[in-house]
Amino acid sequence: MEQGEITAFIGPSGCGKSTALRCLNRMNDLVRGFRFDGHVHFRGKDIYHRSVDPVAVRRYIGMVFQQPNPFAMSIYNNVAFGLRLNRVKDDIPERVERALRGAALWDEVKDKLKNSGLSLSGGQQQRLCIARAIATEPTVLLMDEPCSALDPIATRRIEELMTELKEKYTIAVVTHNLQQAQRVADKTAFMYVDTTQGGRTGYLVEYEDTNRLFQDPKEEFTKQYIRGEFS
Amino acid sequence: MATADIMSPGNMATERNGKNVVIDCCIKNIYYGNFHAVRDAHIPRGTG
Repeated sequence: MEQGEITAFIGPSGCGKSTALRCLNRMNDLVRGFRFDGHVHFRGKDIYHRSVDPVAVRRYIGMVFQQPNPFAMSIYNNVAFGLRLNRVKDDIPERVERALRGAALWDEVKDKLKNSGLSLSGGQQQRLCIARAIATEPTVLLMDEPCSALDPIATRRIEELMTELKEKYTIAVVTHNLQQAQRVADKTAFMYVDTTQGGRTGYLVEYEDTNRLFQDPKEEFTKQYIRGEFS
Repeated sequence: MATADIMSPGNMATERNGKNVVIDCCIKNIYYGNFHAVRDAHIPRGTG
């Protein structure tokens, strides 16, 4: 995944898109029984190396989830939370404002920073979560179906925001929405699920420039999926 | 080397097609217990 680009993961339900995404910042470490075979190199360094602290990984590789999940605290404190967790002590008000501006939320909340984050609309809550994620100035932003709980207008706002954010952050996004992948992603990975061994094991079928993958897919499964022959 | 040094930006950019590769990902297998969740999810170099 290259700097300043958006990579989309698409594919039917249960094909491992979110599982793969969560490997990129060691979120799966929190799941009992998780085992990983392979490598993820962040700027050339193995994030699964035993000397690497997963909390430090998540400081540089932030995540936004499917459901907006602001904490039950003020808008200001929601954004400041990650900074305090990472022991940032200087310039917290300035960093909070910068993150809220970066998430295109500042103008809507600047006069009510003490209000609860839960008082915001769904779309605003998701942008608050994006502000919380970018407050620590990560390098990579992982987004797991960030718009699936939002209405079309809020979805479009988040998509515009992703396009703005890619100037500063490398983004990987899981989406069920093929049009969304086409609108925002530079590269697209199509995953499918193998049921031939009696289980349900996801695998990567094709990874390409988004335009090429949608206009001239190499693999038959990809063709069928983007034609809507299965979902 | 301390964790912070390993992860600090600017230390170790790798390059492909003139662009910085931020994440190089090769997932051979992911298991949750006995459940084989993902295999062969390697984003290949030199594509795209």
